[in-house]
Amino acid sequence: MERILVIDDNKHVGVIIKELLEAEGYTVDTALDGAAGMELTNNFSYQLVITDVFMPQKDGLEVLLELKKNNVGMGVIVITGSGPTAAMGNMIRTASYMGADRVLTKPLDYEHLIRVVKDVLELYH
Amino acid sequence: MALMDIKKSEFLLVTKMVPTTVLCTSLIVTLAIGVLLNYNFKQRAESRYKNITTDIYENIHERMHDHEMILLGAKGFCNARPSVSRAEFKNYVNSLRLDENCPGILGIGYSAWLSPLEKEATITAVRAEGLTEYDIKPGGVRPRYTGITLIEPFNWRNKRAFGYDMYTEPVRRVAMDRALDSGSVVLTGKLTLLQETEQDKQIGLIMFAPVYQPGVAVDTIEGRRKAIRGFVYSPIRIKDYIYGTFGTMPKEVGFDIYIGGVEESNLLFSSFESERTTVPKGYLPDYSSKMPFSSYGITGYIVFKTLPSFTYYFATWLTNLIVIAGIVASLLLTLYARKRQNQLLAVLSNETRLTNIIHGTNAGTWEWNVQTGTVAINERWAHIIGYTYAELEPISIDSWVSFTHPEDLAQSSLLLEKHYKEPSEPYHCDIRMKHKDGTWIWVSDWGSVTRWTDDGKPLIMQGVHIDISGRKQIELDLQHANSIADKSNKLLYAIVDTMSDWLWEIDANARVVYCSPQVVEHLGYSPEEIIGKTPYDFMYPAEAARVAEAFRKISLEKGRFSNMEQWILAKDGTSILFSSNGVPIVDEEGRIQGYRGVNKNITNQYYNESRLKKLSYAVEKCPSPILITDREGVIEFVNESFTTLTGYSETEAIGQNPRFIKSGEMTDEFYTSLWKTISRGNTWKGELHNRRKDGSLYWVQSIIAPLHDAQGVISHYVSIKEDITEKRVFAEQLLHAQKAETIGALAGGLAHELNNILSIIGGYTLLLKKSCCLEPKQQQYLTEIATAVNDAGAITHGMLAYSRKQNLNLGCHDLVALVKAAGVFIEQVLREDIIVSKDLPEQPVFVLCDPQLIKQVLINLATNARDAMPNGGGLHITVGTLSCPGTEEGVNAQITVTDDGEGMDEFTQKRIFDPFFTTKEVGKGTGLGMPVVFGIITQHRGTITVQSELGKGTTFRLQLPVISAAVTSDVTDGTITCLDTVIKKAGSLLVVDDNEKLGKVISEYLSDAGYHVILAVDGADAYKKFMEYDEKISPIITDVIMPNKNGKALFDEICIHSNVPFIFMSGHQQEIINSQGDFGTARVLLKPINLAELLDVVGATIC
Repeated sequence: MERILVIDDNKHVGVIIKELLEAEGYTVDTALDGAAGMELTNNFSYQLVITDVFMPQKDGLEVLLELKKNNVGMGVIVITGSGPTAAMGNMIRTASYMGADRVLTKPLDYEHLIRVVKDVLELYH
Repeated sequence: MALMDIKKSEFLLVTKMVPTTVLCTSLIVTLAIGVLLNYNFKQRAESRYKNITTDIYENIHERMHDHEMILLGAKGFCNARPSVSRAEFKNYVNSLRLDENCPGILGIGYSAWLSPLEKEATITAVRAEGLTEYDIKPGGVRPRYTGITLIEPFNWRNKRAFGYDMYTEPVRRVAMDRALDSGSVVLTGKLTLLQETEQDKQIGLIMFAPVYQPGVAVDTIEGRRKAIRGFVYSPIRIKDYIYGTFGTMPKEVGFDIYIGGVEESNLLFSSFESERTTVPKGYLPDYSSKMPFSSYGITGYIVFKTLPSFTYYFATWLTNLIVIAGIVASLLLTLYARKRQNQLLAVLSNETRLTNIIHGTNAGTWEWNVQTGTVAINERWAHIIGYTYAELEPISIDSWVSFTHPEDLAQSSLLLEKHYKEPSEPYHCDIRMKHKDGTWIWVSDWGSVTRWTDDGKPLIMQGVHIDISGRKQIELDLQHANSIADKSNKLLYAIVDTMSDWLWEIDANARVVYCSPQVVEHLGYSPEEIIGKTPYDFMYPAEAARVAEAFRKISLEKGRFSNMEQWILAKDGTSILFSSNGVPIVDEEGRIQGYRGVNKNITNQYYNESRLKKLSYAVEKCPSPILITDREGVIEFVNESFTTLTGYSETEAIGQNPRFIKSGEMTDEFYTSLWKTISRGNTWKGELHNRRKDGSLYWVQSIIAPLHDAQGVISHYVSIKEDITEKRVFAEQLLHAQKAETIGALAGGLAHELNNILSIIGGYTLLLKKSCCLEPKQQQYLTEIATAVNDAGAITHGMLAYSRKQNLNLGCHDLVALVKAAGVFIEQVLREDIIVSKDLPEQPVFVLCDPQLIKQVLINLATNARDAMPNGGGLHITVGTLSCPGTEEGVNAQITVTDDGEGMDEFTQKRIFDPFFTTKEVGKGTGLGMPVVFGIITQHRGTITVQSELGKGTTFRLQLPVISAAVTSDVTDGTITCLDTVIKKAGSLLVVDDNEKLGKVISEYLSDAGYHVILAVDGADAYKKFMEYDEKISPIITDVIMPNKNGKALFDEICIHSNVPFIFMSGHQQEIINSQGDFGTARVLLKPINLAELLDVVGATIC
């Protein structure tokens, strides 16, 4: 069964995604910042990491870089701050350049998220 | 008085003596005539001699004077110029026609006064004129040189002197020093000119006139020595000169000219050398004399001697001949007298004869017995005073006294006394006598004592009365006229003295002969300093030439002139403007002898006028509108800016009250307070909202100030305005922009936070919905919550858009194509009852824009229009260009979106772009649609305006800067990429990466930065594309490790054809890169690629 890690400093987002994805049959762990998330990746083998960008300690892009550098066989979905704003636009581009498989923007369309999760896992299957 | 009774016998006795008397008398007369003639001849000879010698002297003197004038003319000519060109000088001298007018004057030259340095410069300068052999002679080192730099006519004779340093020669040097120190024209002593040859050698003289630096004081010797610039000079061959002076030498008198004493060695000229005036040996002159002269710094004598022809004319034999003839004539006369004696006696009666004589003289005669007082008069005596002889009888001296004017009696007595004492002088007194008609008439009373008493007292006095009333009247008239003339002269002088203007008189050569003392007040020169000079001596050369020309024309027509303006240099160097009036002085033959007139100093007037002119020009041309009204507020003046601003012409404005430009937008109280302020004499400052002629409104910043007349009473108001319409609009826009900015920042931050919260609400709602055991009603509630969350999401999205934090994906796009493409989306938001029409040009209109955002704008505007037309209507969209001076391109692209819906009132129009302002029902609009449009257009550096009328509809006008044809001609694939308005694109970049995703990211990033990017998937593909595009590609950005030809192989292959720069990207360790071989100077970037760094490197390779 695929194991998914959700990293978001807003615990509600983590809870919601966890519930939704577990309903889909995935095993989901959550972490409240990048550093905690990275620690979990050392202990467990994840097929997919969903991470927010702006977080205390270690932010989402650092997480992405580290993950992609060490383990090519892991999908990463980045969730950025909302909207097609300048900063966000750059963020989307930067994240995808850095190897994020998908970049989603807030406010999250959870139905869409579930579809994207399935797509990405398919890639690394 | 009756004729005296001479007895006939006495008379006959006298008659008999006549022939003897005749003989004696005629002999005596003849002798006397002889003596007189002799005396007369001598007198005449002497006077003739005197005349001739004076003429000779005067002629020579006059000639010298003319010569001096010529030289002074040349001096003035040189003075007037800082440097005199050869051509100018030649023209000047040629114009004098020396050979015709002044024989003997060899020419006119200029000898410069030079320091050793100047000497070299002068030689160089003259040689540069083509006179390559010019040198200052003689050579040698001297502290001071003078060199003849100009001499005209430039003939062979004068060329001999060209370059000669005259100061080296003692005789010339003495004269030059004297000229320099005195400042006047000086002649040398006798010398031999350089112009002389062996043949016909003559004595020479040179006349020098010093030329000083203009503007330097030369009233002292020191001043003159400092200011000396050179000499104008003129060489003379004395023989030619003197012969030229006389034309024909005088035949009767010859002369020698000596400089210094009368010694052979001092002889300058002798007329006796002339053929005509040779003297035969042994001839003794009748007269000789010497006349000293002293002029032009030399003294000497002219020695005159009569010549034989003079002697011939005044010889004494003529006198002798006349005396002999006289004696013969006397004898003949005596014979004749004898013969006629008897006849005469018979014919003539003494009485009648005398009566006739007296009658002929028309004189009244009188005889007065001084002792008895009895008086005898003739009829004429009585007639003179209007009576007959009978009327006056009895006549005594008392009758005479009674008729004579009492004032004249005393004078008469005095004169009588005088006569008694000196009887040789007759008594004569002009007296007034009372005429019968009561007038006084003038009578000349003559008389003398003819008989004396034995004791020496006057006994009989005889005399005449001559009526001189006519003459006396003339005398009196003359006297009266003289006294009037004298009075008017005095008056004239008084006027001349008191007037500030300056009177002058010039002669035919324009030399001042008179000038009134006032000149000193204007020019600082005393009349003495001016008299003898010409007005041109006191002018700048150009001015002198102008005035001389004008004056020449006037004097040719012998015309008078008035208000002729001329600039004259005062002694202190300032220029004074005079207005001259003058009338010609014409002699009896109609020749102009000169001019006299008056000069009025109008310098101040001129400067005042020009200052006024400048000021009025400044006001007229002032970029600020200016308006002047009288104290009643009636417009008297408006300047050009005013007419430009208001649209009213000057004629339309003048005479109006400024209220005609009132907009009606300002309160009456406002104007009342304005008038209150200015009518109290204070300046009012403020902003006014006015209306143009075309009805449009404008704002002005106005300063209105009262002007006071000399009495301190307000006479006018001046209003200076500044059009601040644009400033106000700009300020409003700025305010709006700042407001939008603040709200945007707030909204952006808010939206971000809200998004997070909405994510959570939405998330839990979803979770709830997915959980089981919910009643349908509960499910329904959750759906409502989810919808609300979506709506809220739309708002936050809009807020972010409004906050202008969008990342513009700018490119050059055709607006026409964009509007066409947006059509589908627009129709989606519209209802079926709205009909869309478009007016699009055939030519593309390229603008720099983010197409997605422009689409958003169009959709938002369409939505707005839809809501304004609840009952359906038409939506019209146009695209075009609009000339827009002042912008970089001069044109803007314009999109208009017009609906025929409800329209908006002014209040709504003003707030339409404010965020969260909506007229729609709550829940129907976000209040962000139009602010987003505003934000997007502003971010595109465009403008948006709205024009609306209630019930008629609304038009939005969007303007965006157009991209010039020069740039758009570069279009590839229909669009070109660019950043801001600056197109950095220098060529195309080739990006090669087998990782498609990475390739795309880099390509997109570089496209955004303004480059055109070609993407290749491996080395082989890259090589193919490079060969296709060839050298248009620079640089190539390539991965190193790639299947199907790696980066290094690509590099090696392309290097054969081109030196296109390479940038390598590698995710591998340095060793791997190194093992691939040598990359030359190419940059190698390590993955993960820092895009900003890549952009820098790309930029560097292109530069």
